[in-house]
Amino acid sequence: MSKWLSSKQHLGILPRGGCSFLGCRVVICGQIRNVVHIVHSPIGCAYYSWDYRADSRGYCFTTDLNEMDIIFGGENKLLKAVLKVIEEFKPDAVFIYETCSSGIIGDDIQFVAEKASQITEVPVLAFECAGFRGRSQNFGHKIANLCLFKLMLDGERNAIPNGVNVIGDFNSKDAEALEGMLRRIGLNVVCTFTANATIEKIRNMKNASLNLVQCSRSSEFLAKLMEEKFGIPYLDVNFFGIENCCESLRRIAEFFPTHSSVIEDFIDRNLRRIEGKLREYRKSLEGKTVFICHGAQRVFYWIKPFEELEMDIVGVATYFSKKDDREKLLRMLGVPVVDNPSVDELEEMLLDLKPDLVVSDDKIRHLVHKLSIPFLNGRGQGKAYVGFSGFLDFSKDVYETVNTKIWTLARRDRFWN
Amino acid sequence: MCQLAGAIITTLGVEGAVPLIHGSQGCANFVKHLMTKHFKEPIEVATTALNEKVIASGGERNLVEAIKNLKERIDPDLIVVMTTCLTETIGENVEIAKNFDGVVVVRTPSYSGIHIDGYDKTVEAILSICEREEREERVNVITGFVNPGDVKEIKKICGEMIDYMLVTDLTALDRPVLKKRKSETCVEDLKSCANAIATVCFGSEGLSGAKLLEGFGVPTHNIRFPIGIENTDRFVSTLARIAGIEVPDSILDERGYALDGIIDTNHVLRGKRVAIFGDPDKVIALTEFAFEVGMRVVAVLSPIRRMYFAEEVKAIANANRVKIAVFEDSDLYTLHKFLKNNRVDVLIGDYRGRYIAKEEKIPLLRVGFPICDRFGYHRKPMLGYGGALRMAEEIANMLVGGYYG
Repeated sequence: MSKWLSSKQHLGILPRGGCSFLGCRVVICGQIRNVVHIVHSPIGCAYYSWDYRADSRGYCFTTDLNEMDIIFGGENKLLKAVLKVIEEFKPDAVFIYETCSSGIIGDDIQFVAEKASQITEVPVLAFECAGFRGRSQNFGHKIANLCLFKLMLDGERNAIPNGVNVIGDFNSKDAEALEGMLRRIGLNVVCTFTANATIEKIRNMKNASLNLVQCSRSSEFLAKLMEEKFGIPYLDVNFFGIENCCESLRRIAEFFPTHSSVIEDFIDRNLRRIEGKLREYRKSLEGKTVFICHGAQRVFYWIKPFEELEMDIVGVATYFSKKDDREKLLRMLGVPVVDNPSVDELEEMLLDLKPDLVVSDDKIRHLVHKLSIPFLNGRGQGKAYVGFSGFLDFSKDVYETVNTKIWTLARRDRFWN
Repeated sequence: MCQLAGAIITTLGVEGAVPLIHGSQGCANFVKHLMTKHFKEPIEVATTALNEKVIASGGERNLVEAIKNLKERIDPDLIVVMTTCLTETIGENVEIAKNFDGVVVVRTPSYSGIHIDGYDKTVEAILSICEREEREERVNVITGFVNPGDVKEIKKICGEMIDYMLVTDLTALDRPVLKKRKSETCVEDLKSCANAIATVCFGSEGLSGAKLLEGFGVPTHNIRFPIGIENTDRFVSTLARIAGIEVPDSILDERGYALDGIIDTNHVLRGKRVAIFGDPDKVIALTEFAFEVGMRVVAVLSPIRRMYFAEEVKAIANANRVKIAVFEDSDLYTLHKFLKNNRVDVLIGDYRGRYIAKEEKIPLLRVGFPICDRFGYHRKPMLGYGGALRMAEEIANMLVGGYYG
């Protein structure tokens, strides 16, 4: 077992994460509505980041830097582009991104942004997120959060009663489901950051009285900033799985004592509603084995939901996790835990463990498909997996994936006896 | 797309070759993500993962360590080191990579050229390992930046006529379940490219590589992409001339089937107005195809300026007595604005045209790379007789079914 507990980060092999430009442009800013993105780069960075995620929004333009611009600088080109875009689209805001090429030649995008917003009075935000900054895309999250935080500094704070923000949800369907659920227990959702967010909503975030932090890795930073500046406390929550969901709701109830009876009522009603269906799925899934490949944070979240489905976790792979996290996982689960595996390692591991299901994101989907192992995208892809109904949907997807006949046909091969 | 996309796709077509990107890890991630979504295959790209701290003292150490790591863990036959905007701008010394065996370097910063330039440069770089030995009765075919489905069409035609070698074999990007990636072209084969009797390449894609082989006395046959009947005829007759044989019956049959199918769609396709966007060489060939099946091309768009592009499109337009609006070095937004005033019935291009298609309710024929919102389009050919048939039928079906998007 210990042979899997490798932690060396292998240079030259297999990047799992992206650069800080990706973290900033795609993960955080890509979901905000009615803004136009201008990537200050040659064609590449703009082309790849537009449409990276299926639910990203907004036009994306590039200044299409060429060799001459690299030598003489591209600030004028950028300013022209910003002014043209504002004239043509009348967006709520324009986001400018720095990339490796514009960053290294030292174009001052902050200056361009200020100048453009002076001329047009449309907010222009400059993100200094060149790909070489920081060690991974996490740094990009930080840059984006910091920059968007500045939007909140305009104007006075008028507290909205029962107002909460959901921070760190980047899946628009999840955000919708979560907003619906919080509404039903009588809370006002000021902003879901950043799925479905608008510039106006982000500005109003300071009016909330509580921040709910979903993905602590990317967003705890923003929650802490807001706590410092506006005195808004934050709660780490997780609405994936029945027990996690109940626990998170109860912690919210502690914060809003007047709502606690409504919340308890809501929990009871929902538990009764999904109980029957869930029992059916559980009966079919009991004892099936699952392999998880995700960030360590998510793996921790997912231990309980799989217990609830009575499935056994037989192995875990994480991306860039800390050693403590891996050791904790190993203690909790007693199964192989590997960090940042190469394709060959992962393949060997999967053929060794022969799980009935692999849950991960799309990065390894096709590798798992090639090994004829059922695969489910844990992020939900156009579906919400959070909340009670979400978990029912998740269980249904697990049930349907595992029980598709094609896997058994594909396994009738010499590799699987 | 940037040059890296072309460089990586070329590399992945060689058995046992690994692409190594010398730059931020985002560069590797972005390209990999796009290719995974298009080919629906596991694709691995290595990176030297540079960051601020490393850059200050130069990234040479990372590069050397990355190559050593790759050699130790994967032991590839060939490592193709690709530079990025970052490393080119700061003037990294990448030549040190050449101190290792089986490493070639290709310079691919995004600010000078697009994916087809990357393709072209990489073909040249990997062919630079050629060694001239005895002449062999064989032809090199440089396929261009195309899909596995297209390469299968090329294989089908070549296989009937002559011994051939693909540079590089992109069918490796479409493999069956439980099988390792397997390309028919390995590093040893590439070395022997200099022994062939001729090189066939399409348009400007891979032309530099072909020119390099000319230095070894291998003549180049540079023709248009075999898209549409006439262009494919030209490809077939070129091969027949090289091999010194008559065109075999099996290929004439293939041609006959395609023609039969295309003729059947004629009453649907004739007179339909069409706009085409994509890589310049493929757009030229697609324009010819569109006129062959009776459609009228209204506008063409190329993301980059090429000397010959407008000229050749104009020549085709004149031959068909129409006017075609030519957009060079411009984007889909420009095309969209044009189409608002100039209605077309069909749009041909990659999946990024879907926003226009949806908004204007125009059917979009998805061809080329990338196509991430549909399944199996990497398997559908655009080249050869099969490709012509497929495209004609698909357009006709969309028009008959009133389907758009």
